[in-house]
Amino acid sequence: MSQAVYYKVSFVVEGGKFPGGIINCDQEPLVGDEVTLDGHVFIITEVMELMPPSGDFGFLHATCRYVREAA
Amino acid sequence: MDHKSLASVPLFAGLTAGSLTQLAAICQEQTAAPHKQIITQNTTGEEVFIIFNGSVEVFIEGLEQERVLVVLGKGQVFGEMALIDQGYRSASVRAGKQGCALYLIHSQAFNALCQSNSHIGYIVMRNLARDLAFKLRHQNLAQM
Repeated sequence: MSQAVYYKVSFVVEGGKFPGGIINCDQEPLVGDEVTLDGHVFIITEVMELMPPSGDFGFLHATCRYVREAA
Repeated sequence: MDHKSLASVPLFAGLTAGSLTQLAAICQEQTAAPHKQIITQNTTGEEVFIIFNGSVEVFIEGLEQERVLVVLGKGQVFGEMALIDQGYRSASVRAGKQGCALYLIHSQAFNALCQSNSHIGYIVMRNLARDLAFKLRHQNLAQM
């Protein structure tokens, strides 16, 4: 996945309280990273490839857990 | 807007700088205040939207309650089914908590561009299929 320039990432939140999201990231998301979706901060607990990369784009899926509201 | 801002949009992956410039020429910029509704379910629409800042919530309006399906952020596309089936909007969309900034493309302008340059049409339609596959895979995982 290191050849990708952009990462399109599917985020699903544990517990089902939050709907999850799809966003582009400039860097590959890693387990332990924090991500903000619409004002909510989540920590990534798992990352996997969702679809094979194409051109400059990698297509990933990340599972995450709610941490706090964004400042 | 220049073509560089479109290069990071997966829908336009694989297009040359010249093709991106042609696309940029038919894009209009639009901003939406926090929580402003952008698309209403079961209405007609001929625009495709690309998020270049902020986020939106995609939600289904039921008889008594609504359900948020997904939050879409930077680089994502919505309203794209208008390019494919010209049908009613399948869900409603509103700006997220911070509002959003969008590029808007009218389907007529897009179709005219594709008819004049079928290579652009092929690339974008291929990417559109990939985007729909991605959203389907996301939805499958979100429902587990």
